[in-house]
Amino acid sequence: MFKLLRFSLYGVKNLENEVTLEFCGATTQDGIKKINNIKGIYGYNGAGKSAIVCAMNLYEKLVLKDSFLSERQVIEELDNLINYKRKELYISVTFEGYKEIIEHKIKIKKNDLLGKYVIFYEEVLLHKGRTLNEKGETIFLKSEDKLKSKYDLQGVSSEFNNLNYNSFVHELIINFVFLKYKGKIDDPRILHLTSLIISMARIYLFSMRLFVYLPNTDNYFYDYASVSAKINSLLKEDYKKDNKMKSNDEFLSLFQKQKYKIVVRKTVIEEVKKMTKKLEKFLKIFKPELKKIELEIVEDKENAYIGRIFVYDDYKVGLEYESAGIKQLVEIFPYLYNCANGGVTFIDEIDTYLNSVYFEKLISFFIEYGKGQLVFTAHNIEPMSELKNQLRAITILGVDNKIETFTKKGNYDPKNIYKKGYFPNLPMNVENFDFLNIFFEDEL
Amino acid sequence: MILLFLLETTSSNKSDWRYVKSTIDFYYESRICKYEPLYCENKDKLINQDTKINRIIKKDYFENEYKVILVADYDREENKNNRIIDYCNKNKYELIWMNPNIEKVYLDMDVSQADKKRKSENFQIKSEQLLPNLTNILNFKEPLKTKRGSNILDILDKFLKAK
Repeated sequence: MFKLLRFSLYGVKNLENEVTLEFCGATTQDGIKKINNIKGIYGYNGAGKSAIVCAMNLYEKLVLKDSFLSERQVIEELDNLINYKRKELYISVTFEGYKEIIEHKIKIKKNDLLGKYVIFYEEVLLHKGRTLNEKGETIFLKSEDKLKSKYDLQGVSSEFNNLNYNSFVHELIINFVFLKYKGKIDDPRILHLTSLIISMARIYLFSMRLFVYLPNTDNYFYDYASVSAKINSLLKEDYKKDNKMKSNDEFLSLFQKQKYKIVVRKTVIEEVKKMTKKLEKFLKIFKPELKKIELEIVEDKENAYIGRIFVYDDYKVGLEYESAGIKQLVEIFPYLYNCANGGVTFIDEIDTYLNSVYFEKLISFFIEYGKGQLVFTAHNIEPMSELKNQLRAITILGVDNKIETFTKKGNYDPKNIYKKGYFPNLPMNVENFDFLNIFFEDEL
Repeated sequence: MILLFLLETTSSNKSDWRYVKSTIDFYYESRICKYEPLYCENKDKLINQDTKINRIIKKDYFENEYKVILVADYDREENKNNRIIDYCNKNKYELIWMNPNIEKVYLDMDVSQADKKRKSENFQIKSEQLLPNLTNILNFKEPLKTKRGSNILDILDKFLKAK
C-alpha cells in the first residue's frame, strides 16, 4: 500500500505561490502517524483548486509516460498551464510505501531554443527523520544537466539520454532496467544500484496507484495489469502484499474510453461485463429505477468497442443521452473504486452534478470504509459536517494561494464559518444586491 | 481581519449597508478582508452593541482580528453625537460620519423613511457612474466641518488597499 503524505506545487495555472497539502502528522520509526484518507479542497471559483488536481495529473504522466514532454499536444497544454509569472512548474510528492518515505521533486520549464518543456531539476530524497520537515537524504539529483547520486552512476549515466523529457524514474525503471537489462536487477553490472532501483520502482508503482480525474478530459488508463506485475516482480517481497491492487489495476484498464465507448482488448470482454455489473449496482443507489446496463459490443481484429445502454422499465437510452449526473457518476466510478480499495485518487469538481444528500453519504463512506486516500475539489459544503471530524480533511484555498485547514475544536461548524466568510483569506463579501447593477443597470 | 460595520439601519432595509458596500467595492481591492454588517436599527442601539460584538469575536474559530466601525448620521442633538464619539473613543472603535445623513451624502437629497430602501437600490445600480463624482464628498478628514460630507474613505484607507 502507498500513502500520500505531502503534495506541494507552484507555477500551475494561477498558483503562483507554493501550495502544500499535508496528509500526515509526525513520522516515527514505526511509521507515519495519523495519515488522513480524505481531503476536500474548497475555495472561490478560480482559486486554483483544479490546478492542484491538474498538477497531480501532470505528475502521474511525467513518471509513467515515455517522452511525455515531447508530445506536441502536451507542449500546447503546458503553454496554457504554466503560470505566466513563474514560468516554471514545480511538483513535489512525498509518499510512504513499504516503510520507505520517498520525496520526489520535479521542476519543468520551457527551453526556448528547443521550443519544448524540459525537466531541468529532479530530486529524489529518502526521509528518515521524525517529521517531514527534516531534510531527507538525497539519493538522486539532476540539476540542469548534472547528475548526482548517493549511488555510483558512473559507467551508466550515459544510458540516461532522455532526461530532458523523461523523469529519471521512468528512464531508470522502464528504459534502463526493463529495456536494457530485461528486468534483471541481479545483473552484476547494475547490482550496486539495487537500492536506487527499488526506490525508483516504488515511485513508479505509486504513480500507477494514482488516479486523477479532471472533468472533460478522456480518461486514459495504462496497461496496468502487465506493467504493474513487471514492476512488482522487481519488488518480490512487496508483490504478495500488493496483490489486491493488481486486480484494481485490471479493473481500471477496463474503463479506457473514447468518448462514450469503452475500448479494450478483446480478451477482456468478460471482465468488462463483470465490472459493468459493479457499475450498475453503484448507479442503482442514485437511480433505483435503472434496471440494468446492456453492453453493445463491436469487435475488430484486436479490440472491442463497447457501448453502454441504460435500461429502464419503459425505455432504453445510450450513455451519451443519459443525464449529466449519471454521466458523471459513470466517469468517476473507476476512480472511486480504486480509492475504496487502497489507491490514491484525486477528483476535480466531484459534486458538479451530484445530489447533495447522496454526495454527503458517499464522502461519509470513504471516511468510514475507504482504504485509500480521496482528495477532491468541490463547492458543495454539505460533506463538511462529516469531514470536520477528520484531521486536515477540510482544506481551504484562499486569496494569494494561501491554504487554511479546519481542525475540529468544540462545536464549531465549518459550514457556517465558510458561509459567513470567516476563514482567513476567504472572505465572502457578496450580497444579493451586488447583482443589481449587473442585471438592472439599464432600467434607470 | 474582519471589519465589523455598525449601521443605523434594519436587516430588512439594509439601505446604509448598500451605500457603504458600494463604496468599498468601488474604491478598494476586493478580498483584502471580510466585511460584516451589524444592523442596529437606530442611533441609540448603535452604541449598545457590546454584547453582540463580544459574542461574535468570542465565537470566531479562527480568532481573526476585528476592527469595529460605526457608521453614523450627524445628529442635530449634539449630546447624541457626543455619546457616539465617547463610545468609540472608549472602545477604540472607528467612526464614519455621514453628515448630515447618508442619503444627503450619497444622493444630495432628503429621503423619507419609506423610500430609503428603494433609493439605496437605485444608487447601487448606478453606483459606478455616481461614485466617481462623490470622491471629494466621501474623503473629508473632518466631515463635521462641512455641510455635506463623510470621512468614509479616510477611515477605510486604514484597513483596505485602494484600487
